[in-house]
Amino acid sequence: MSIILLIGFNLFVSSSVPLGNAATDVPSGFALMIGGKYKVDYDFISSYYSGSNYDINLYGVALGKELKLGKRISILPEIGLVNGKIVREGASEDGLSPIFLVRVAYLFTTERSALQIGFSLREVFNGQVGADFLDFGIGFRM
Amino acid sequence: MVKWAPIFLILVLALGCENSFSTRITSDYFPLKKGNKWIYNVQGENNYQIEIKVTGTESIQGDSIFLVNTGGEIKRFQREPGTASRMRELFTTCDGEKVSFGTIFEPYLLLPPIEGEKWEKEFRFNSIYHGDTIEKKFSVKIDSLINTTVILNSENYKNVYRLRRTIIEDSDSLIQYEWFAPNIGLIKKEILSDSVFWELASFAFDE
Repeated sequence: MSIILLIGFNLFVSSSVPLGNAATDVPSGFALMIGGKYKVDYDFISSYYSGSNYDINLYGVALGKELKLGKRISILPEIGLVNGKIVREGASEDGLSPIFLVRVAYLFTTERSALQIGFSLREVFNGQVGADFLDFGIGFRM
Repeated sequence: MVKWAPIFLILVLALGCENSFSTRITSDYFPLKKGNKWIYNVQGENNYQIEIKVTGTESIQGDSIFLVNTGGEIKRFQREPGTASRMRELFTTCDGEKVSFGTIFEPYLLLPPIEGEKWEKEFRFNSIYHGDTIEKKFSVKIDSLINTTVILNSENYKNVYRLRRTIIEDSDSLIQYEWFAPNIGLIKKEILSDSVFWELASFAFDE
């Protein structure tokens, strides 16, 4: 069994989300991947975004499959669901949203306790405008 | 194959969802871009069509202001993150003379809209005219904001926000209900006191 704990920092990178507003970068989330040889990738998502005059909380789960590119690079496409809540001065709305996530990880070594850095691109997609997050992380393969 | 089952399950769930939430938070409910055009059927004492078109932008003190031709009247709107404001000159008329109180940025919409929110803004100005102090009062209030579905001309508009806008200028008040559709903007307006109703007939966006 191998476990990767990936502490990430989320960045909104899409100019279209939300509505072209500037984004505030906040540390958030963690990814826990379990699987003997990264057969299945699990991602527990917890994100917070502070907009110009509103806050958005997202939490959910995604599952995916690791695709190896050589010995050091892994591509982990995932799909999942998040529950989102937007809040402004006491008023709020929430709802489920599907997400698509691609995590790319680079392993410095393939040995145990190997340092790993990576990033992921997460998209809350709706067919019209996507909400994209870029997540940088660092972790260890244990 | 068994281990792929959860992924397929989530895929089906994800693709099957209506995605209303992400539509609401990621859509533009007040799309201003040069060339965008909306045509409305207006029903009231007289029935007619009115065209609203974004004709261009101008820079005022470093801010980009959208010029919106509304049936021949140029209105100025400013878009900032989370807010759309309308530039409005406040003035009054004394003995046939125009007395200006300056230009305000009237909060027009908070974006993205959130069901149940309400807000208001009041402006008060004083000016001296021939030795007399003249007061000007202007306020805008938004409430009764709900998320709904609207059918117009057999078209089904989902994730529409309806709000009530109350504008009070001195002793005059105007109450109107407005409906905004995602990535379209205003699709319907009702001014109940005057029995005037606007409905979107067509729109064209500059790609």
